Amino acid sequence: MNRRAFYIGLLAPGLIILVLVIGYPTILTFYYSATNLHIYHPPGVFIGLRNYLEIFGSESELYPALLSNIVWTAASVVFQLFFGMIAALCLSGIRRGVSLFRILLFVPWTFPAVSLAFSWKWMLEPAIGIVNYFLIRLGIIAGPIGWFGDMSRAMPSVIAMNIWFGVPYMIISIIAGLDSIPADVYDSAKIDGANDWQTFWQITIPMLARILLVVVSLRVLWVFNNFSFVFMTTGGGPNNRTNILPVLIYQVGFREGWLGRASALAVVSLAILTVFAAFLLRRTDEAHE
Amino acid sequence: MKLMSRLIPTRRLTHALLPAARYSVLSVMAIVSVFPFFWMFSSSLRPPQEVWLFPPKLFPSRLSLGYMERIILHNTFVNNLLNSLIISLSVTILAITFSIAAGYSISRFKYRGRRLIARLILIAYMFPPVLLIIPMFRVMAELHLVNTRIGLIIAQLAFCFPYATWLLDAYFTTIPRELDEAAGIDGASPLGALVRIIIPLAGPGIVAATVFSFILSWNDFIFSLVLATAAEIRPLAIGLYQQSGGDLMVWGDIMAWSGLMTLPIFVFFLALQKQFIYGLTAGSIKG
Repeated sequence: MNRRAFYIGLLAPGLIILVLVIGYPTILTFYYSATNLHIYHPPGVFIGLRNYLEIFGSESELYPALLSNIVWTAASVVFQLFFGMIAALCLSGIRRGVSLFRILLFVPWTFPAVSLAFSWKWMLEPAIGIVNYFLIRLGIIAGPIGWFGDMSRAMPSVIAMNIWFGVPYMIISIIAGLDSIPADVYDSAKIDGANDWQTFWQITIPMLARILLVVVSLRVLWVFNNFSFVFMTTGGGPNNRTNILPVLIYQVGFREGWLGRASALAVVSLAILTVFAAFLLRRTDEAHE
Repeated sequence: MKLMSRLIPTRRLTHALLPAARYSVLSVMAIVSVFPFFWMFSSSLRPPQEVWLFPPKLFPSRLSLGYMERIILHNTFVNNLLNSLIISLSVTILAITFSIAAGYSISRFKYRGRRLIARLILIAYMFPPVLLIIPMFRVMAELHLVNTRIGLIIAQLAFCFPYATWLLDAYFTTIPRELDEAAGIDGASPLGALVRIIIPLAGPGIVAATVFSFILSWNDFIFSLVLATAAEIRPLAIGLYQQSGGDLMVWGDIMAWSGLMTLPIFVFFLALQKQFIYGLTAGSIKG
């Protein structure tokens, strides 16, 4: 029997699905981006770069969407990392109750996107929501606030929701990273007279750096493309304040029906992501060698 | 020396205070972390009129299954649940079968193109679903698979298979090669070695990959939104999303539905914490 054929045969079923559902559609995206394809009038006509000229034009919705996307991604990931680091360091410094806290802190990750969006919408409900009630009772706000529907508070609200969801993943990853640091490194630092603060910045952080880079880039990739959280809470509103790129692509493609133009937006998004993906792949390659 | 003697008391003080500080920080974070989960169940397990009370009551006056009953008896919940089960179980079984084969091939054998394939699978895992929905919708439309369970299963499979393969490749690599080589000397074929040696030893890895495939499929929103618009095939996520269509949000129903949809994953996590943590960290540690 041809051994090589057998090895590749093992891969065949999965690869066929990937080609059909990811490979071929990716190529199609590039082609569609050069057509005026509409959802109700396939197959569309080739129009060259006109979609790109439009989305890069001065009137385009691309720039505000990109800016929102950067704010949304950066704020979410930075605070996920910040809170994740605090919780992980606290968890690794206590002896009793570790497993209980680990369960409690992990709860957000068990929410499906739809349940998550609705439970936050309910907590932040303007008239009878529990968050407004608490804040009014504590005297922090004077009257009810319409979080997801408020021009200036919609973005901070979806970001807060996303931070809440993403912290568990950070905690777990950072703890795994901390566990991989050999104990004798800390022991010798202690003998050299380093205090906790010095130990943290000169040993823990440098030794965590590699894993943090991978975790953060994975997170950036995921958050940058997260469609459901924003779509289900604000729908991109109010007044496009939270209209991040993935939501914009859906709106243009499936609400307005312009699949060609939406494909051009998808290609732009893909180009941005390639940078992160290339970086991640290089790190995994290094690890294999 | 003088400096040292001044430092020692403060060091002692911080050592006494540090654990207390750690527990306080963790407690505050734990409350914030659990509150939405608590509030979801607290809102859905109360007598119907109590959801609309203002000021809101943290705990129900008495436990009531009124909302659970309503969505189960008088809504599309049961139909959506059956769709979700059919779709997610099919996706899981196929993803695991395909990824065991693929992970075995990548982790065990050396042949040309192996690294390229491993890399393509990794790229597929990182590929954002939102960038694919447009062409995928067109491909499925051409194949007459829009609004069919098979179409949705194929779409979700493309996102469960790469992750499962990635996990299993990492897990299989930890199993010593000598074991399947010994099986080979005893006359077992590569397929025999997979079934008799690798699969039994990779139990925890396979459980992790299975659970994650199921969850990815169960939680999927975007593919279902685009590919399953017909009422008969809608999974739970879309059924729940549809509840927000009207003018009035029936929060008790919505929270009951959200809670029932979250519960299986929460139970999986409680029962399989080790595999969960392995599944979440395998990627980043390996890299």
